[in-house]
Amino acid sequence: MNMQCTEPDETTAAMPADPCRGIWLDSIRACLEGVIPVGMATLAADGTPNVTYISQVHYVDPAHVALTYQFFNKTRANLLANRVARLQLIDPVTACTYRMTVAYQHTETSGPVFESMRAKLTGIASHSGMAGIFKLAGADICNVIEIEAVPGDCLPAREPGASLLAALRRAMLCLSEQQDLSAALDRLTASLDAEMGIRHCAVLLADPNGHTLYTVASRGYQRSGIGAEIAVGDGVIGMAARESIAIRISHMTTDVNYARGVGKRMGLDAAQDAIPMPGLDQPGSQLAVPIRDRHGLLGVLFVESEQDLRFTYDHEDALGIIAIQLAAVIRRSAADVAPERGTPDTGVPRSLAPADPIDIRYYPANDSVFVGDDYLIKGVAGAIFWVLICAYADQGRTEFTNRELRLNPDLHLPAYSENLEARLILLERRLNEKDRGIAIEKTGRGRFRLRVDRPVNRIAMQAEDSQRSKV
Amino acid sequence: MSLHTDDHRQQQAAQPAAPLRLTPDVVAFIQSPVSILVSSQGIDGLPVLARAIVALVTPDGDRIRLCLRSHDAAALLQGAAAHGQVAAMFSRPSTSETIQIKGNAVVIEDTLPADDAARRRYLPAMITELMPLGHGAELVACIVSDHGSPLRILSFRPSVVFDQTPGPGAGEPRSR
Repeated sequence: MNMQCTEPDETTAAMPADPCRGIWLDSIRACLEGVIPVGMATLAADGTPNVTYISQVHYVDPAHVALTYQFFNKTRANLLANRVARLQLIDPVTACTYRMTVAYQHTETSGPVFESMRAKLTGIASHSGMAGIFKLAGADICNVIEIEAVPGDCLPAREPGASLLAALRRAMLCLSEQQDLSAALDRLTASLDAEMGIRHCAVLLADPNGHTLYTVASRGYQRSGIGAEIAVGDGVIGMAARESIAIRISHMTTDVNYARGVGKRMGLDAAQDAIPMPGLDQPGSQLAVPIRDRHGLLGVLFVESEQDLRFTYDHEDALGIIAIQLAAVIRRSAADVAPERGTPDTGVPRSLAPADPIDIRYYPANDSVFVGDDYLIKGVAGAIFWVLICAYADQGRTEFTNRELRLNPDLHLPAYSENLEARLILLERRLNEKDRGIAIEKTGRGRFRLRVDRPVNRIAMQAEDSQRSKV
Repeated sequence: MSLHTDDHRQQQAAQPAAPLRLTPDVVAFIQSPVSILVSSQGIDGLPVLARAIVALVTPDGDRIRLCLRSHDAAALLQGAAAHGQVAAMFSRPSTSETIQIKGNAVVIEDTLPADDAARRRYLPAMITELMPLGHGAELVACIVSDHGSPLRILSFRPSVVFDQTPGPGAGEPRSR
């Protein structure tokens, strides 16, 4: 699905608006899911017919499909020579057959449609035992001239059951009711499970550096993977971010470019600070949808399932709508709001239970932090944590506001591009997972508390000489 | 879903000098439970295609008889009769083994008892073929039954066979 907002052009305007003239491409997208192969007929320049199955017919928009171009074969030669082909498609549920007349327009060898098809093809190739043999050479973009229903018996449409549209409405309602990003992320992942039966999902937000995405929420995995990073352009998630388009694989792929965990890790060596991406060992279906607004990319919503063919074009649309709403929530959370009046600080120092002090080591090189021997976080969230723990150690402070962090010169935060709220969510969740007696608690809009339940030793690691101060 | 590399790359092979005699393995294959798509040039000058619901090779091996439902194959029958050339693809769903046969000397005619007998065997055989792939019998029946349509035979003389099974050999002429 093309995620961009486009103005109607002459080609879309030429689509059959009158059902008597034809059938909407959108209404037969199930035929393009690859369950039943699509037949394709072409003619050579001398009129010699040719018929074949085609690996993939990809829905581009209501007026266009893209055909896989893998080899320069007779079909493609014919398509380039005569420009027109006829496809025969079958709905995998109703068995209704359709014939589609298409006209070749141009070939794309990069960009959103190409990458979307390339990812899908890797799944198909792996499923067919052809991994590594077939590569997408191009996406042949074709204008849909006409679609006709072939006379014949059909089965009833899918039995009445869970309506994706109704589920979407409920999920959107849940999302819209949330005041802050953290709650919205929790409700979103819960809604995907409860309303759409999507058991495994993750939300990644884009680092303002434009090169990485970091995981802020997940559901359905043994390890949450909060804080795990993936490079823009890597795998299904990274490609959805880079191309700003939904990327979907409907069969488990063995293509290493799309296998999880191959994303380049940033910063320190992976051995020390790489948090593994959450994910199924053997996903049958994966779908990554970009979260973006008019200002740019904000993140990626990722879902997966053990089943093949679990997600459809309708899921791309449904999650695309959720991503629009989520983008608004993220953008709102990033706004530098005036802090609410906080819960009054009693002024009474928390009486610490007898516990051994714990070392907190900070590496300025990439702002990574270790609590005890456990890697906690790095980057902006790591720097924030160090500022907080220093304020606590040096001044006894426990109450903080987002605004003061944004203005803190030690953090070097860009004025508007950094989503501080998202970093705090990331930090809060990592601290909760580590459960080492240090936590962040939200106390109001734009305001939070650092809770430290045990003595800490701050250790700022320098290149040669480490400095240590005890609290 | 299978991955297809499409068709032949050597069009010059489509014009053999001598009449083609189908080999026994090709005859056996196209008369087995395979999906069959047929195409020709329509009278509007554009490609046309339709599904055949069984194929038979004449006892002398000279011609292939494709059984078509006239209600959904009208344009194909009309175009093939006018144009005289036809291409037919035979693909076994369970293995993706696929061949394309091109031919000419098209004749449109009525079914014979042998065609009807073959068609009656074809539907249950296709159900057996496709059910392990997750397709229900009802769905298969919808795709390959006659739908109560009058049936017509498109008979043609094969001229060349191409291997279209996905893989490195796809697109090569299989025999002459």
